[in-house]
Formats: sequence, C-alpha cells, structure tokens
Amino acid sequence: MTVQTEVESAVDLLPGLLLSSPLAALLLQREMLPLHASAVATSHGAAVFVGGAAIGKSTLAAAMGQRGLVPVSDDVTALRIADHHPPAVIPGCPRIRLWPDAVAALGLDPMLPELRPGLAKRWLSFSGGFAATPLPIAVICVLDRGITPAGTKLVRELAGMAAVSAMFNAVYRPAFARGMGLERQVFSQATTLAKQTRIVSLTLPADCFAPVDLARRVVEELWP
Amino acid sequence: MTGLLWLASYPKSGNTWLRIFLANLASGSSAPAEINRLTTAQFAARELWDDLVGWETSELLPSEREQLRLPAQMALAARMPDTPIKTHEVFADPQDGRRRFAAPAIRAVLYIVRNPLDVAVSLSHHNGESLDEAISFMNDSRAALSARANALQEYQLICDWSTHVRSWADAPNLPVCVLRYEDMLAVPGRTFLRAAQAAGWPSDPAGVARAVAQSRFEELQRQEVEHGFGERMANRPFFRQGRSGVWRGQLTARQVGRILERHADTMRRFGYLAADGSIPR
Repeated sequence: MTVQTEVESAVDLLPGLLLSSPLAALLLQREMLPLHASAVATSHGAAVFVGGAAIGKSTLAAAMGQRGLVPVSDDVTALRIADHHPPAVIPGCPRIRLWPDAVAALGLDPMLPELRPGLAKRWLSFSGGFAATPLPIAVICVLDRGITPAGTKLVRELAGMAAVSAMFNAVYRPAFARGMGLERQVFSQATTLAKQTRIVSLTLPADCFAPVDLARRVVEELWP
Repeated sequence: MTGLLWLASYPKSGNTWLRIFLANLASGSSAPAEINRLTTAQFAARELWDDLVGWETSELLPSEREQLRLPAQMALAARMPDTPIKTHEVFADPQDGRRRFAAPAIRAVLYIVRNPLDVAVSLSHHNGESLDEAISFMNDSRAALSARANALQEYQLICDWSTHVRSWADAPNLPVCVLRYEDMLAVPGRTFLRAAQAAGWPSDPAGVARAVAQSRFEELQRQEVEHGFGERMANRPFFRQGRSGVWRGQLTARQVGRILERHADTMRRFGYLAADGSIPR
C-alpha cells in the first residue's frame, strides 16, 4: 500500500486510518481472512477475541498484555488459512485502541496518545515490536455480554454450525468481500477455520469487573 | 415502490410494538414472531452504520458522521429495501431546518404519537430515572440520545416531544401515516390495517387480524419473561403495562403542569387535551 500525504502532520494520522478498513480490504485481496478481533500471543498459541463493536475485545487484549501476554493485533486481525498449515494469526502492530473508560479501568495514563486529534480514543503501545512469524491459533473466543451468576463458567465450547456461523459473523466488513466478489473465498476460509480451530463463547460479566481480574479468569478457564 | 419504510416515534411510544406487528404480518406463520429475532433494523445502531459506511464510525469526528447520514440512508435503501427501519430521531433539525432523512430513500413513514403524560411515566421507568428527569428530557429542545462517543448507537437528535411530533407529522411532501398509540390499543384491527396499507404491505383483514392477535401485549410479556428481551435497559421489564392512562395516579399535578405548559398545543391537536383544558379519559 503506497500512501502519499499532502501535509507532513497527516503522517501521525495514518496508522489509525490505515490499520482498519483499508487493511481489511488489502488482506481480502491477498487471500487472507480479516476478522474483527484482537489477539494475544500465549504459550499455547494465539488467543483471538472476536465480537461486535465496543464489546471489550481491545480492553481484554490490553488486560492480557498487562498480565505479560503480548498483544499481536487489534481491531483487524489477519488470519492465514492455507492447505497443509494450521490456521494462524499474522501478527500486526503491537498497539491497541482504547476508549478513556477502558484506559481508566486498566489504570493507564489518561494522556496516552490520541488516535486522532479531537477523538477520545487512545493508543496503547506494547514494547517488543512486530512478531515476525505467523502464530498458530490456540483458541478463538466469541465475546458477548451477559449475566454470569457466581459459580458459572464464562467459557463454553462451540462446535458445528454455531462455530461456523460465529466465524462468518466475525469477518471484518463483510460488504467488502461482497463488493469484490470474494464471498466464496471468505465462506470457505471461515468454514475451514471453524473446523480446524477451538472456538468458544466467552461471556463477559455485564456488571463491573476489573479487566485484569477478568483476563486472569479467562486464562484459567481456557487452560485449566 | 422503492425506498425505506421508516418506523418513527418519540421513545417509548409503541415503536417496538409496531415492529412486532409487522414481523407477524410478514411471517404469515401461525406461531408468533420471536421478539428477540426481529428483522427490523435500527438506523442508530453503530454496527449498521459501520457496515454501511465501511468504516469504524466511532473513529470519525461528529461532523464527519453528520456528513455521512444521508449517503448511509441511500446505501441502506439499496441494500435492505424491504426491511422496516426504526428511528427515534427528529425529522428535521429545527435550528437550521435541515432534514435528517434523505427524501429519495423514503418510501413511507409510519409515525406513532402517544400521550406525553404516559410517555413520561414509561420513559422514567425505561431509563431508571425520576419522573421529573424524564419530563425535563421531554421538554429539552436539544434532547439527544447516545451523546457519548463510545456508545453502541449513533448520536440521535430527539428535541422536545412537541418538536418531534410536529417535525414528522407536518413535514412537507413526506408520505407519513400518523398512528395514535391509544388507537392501536383501543381499535387495533382498524389502526394496524391502516398501518399495513400505508406501508404497502399485505393488508387482507384476516392476515392483519392474525398479526394483531400474535402481537398482543400478553404474548410479548410472556416471551420477555421466558427469554428476556435484548432491547431493555438493565434488567427492567420492557413490556410493562401496555395500556393508556397510566399517568393517572403516578404524575403529580405539578408534573402534569410541566408537560401541559410545554406541549398543550400539540396535545390538543392529537386529542390528548380538550378545548376546555381538561384531559379526556
């Protein structure tokens, strides 16, 4: 992707502008599957968090980062779905977009860099830079919010059509695939992904829950 | 006919009930439509906007999002021409007169008006706030929903109750059918038939009667008790009473006065206030 800015100051805006819809369109053209997801590297492989807008993907990934796991993508997560290879995450920029309430809940500096001037969203960067190699996926967590009475599990395994449907719904900007005539490619990749990967639903408690405590509990439930 | 079928109303005026009726009318099934699986789209939903615009709209500035409103509606009309679209927004911004809805993307509008005295009670319950707070919202000429940047819904300009009603009911050259919530309750067959006809939907009396029966308040309450309802706030019941006149015994004379002071003209026009200033039963 070649970008030419008309004014020098616009360079700072580019990551926020490019690492979203343009990146997703490019990934589709390169036969990779873009998911609306954040991902972290664990000792088991990549843990991917998919879900709708403002559900808490980025906050959970950032909280995982605070527990020592390395975030490898945010918002758009690129997957390689290829013959003879297990589905893998292609690591992206190790930085995460956060709203001020998430910044506060994570106990971070409220003066983190702005995503765009005039916008409340902030960037949280993690040291370590780019990871060079694809990370096989350990689990994909489909996030939702709900009531979780004490003693109930947050994590529930998904299989069959529920898993396929969840992966299809997790594709970033499905209209792009429609517009480029790539629906068959996306459907085939989402189906392969659902068959070859551990997919779980992860219910985030609707009431307040400290993100770092939630991250600990999620890790404990995913890998008891 | 092309363009969108808009279901417009001030909040807590029966919009969801109308959506459920249309879902039952469309299904033609003997089983009632599931309230958690309504196909109606909500124009304010951020995910719908993101999809229409092809961009994370929460990362756009308010001025940029405003510029995208009308193109987003045109895109929606092209993509989902048969899906009723819900909105609680005012039709035009009274400050500059600018329409907030694209005329070429409008096929028909079903607008529901409800007695503001009852709206105040319902709104207060829905939002978990006091009656006085609900009335202040209804009297606020610049009232808006989802003003927070990270809300799951787009910013929605509502304005005060009277401005909202008149904005839709009096919009020039708008194919609008105004339905009174109280008529939906008192004479459902006739009122919902009118809605179906205005929408250009199947309107044979037997089909309408079946859809009306399947949308009975008791049925909606039954489903909500058994399965919950995704559109309610916190854990407060959404389908609460489903009748008119609930304000009696709930609003104080001072609170009624606050509403009348601001909305008497519009209330009189829609039969919520008699010429002599009394409130009809």
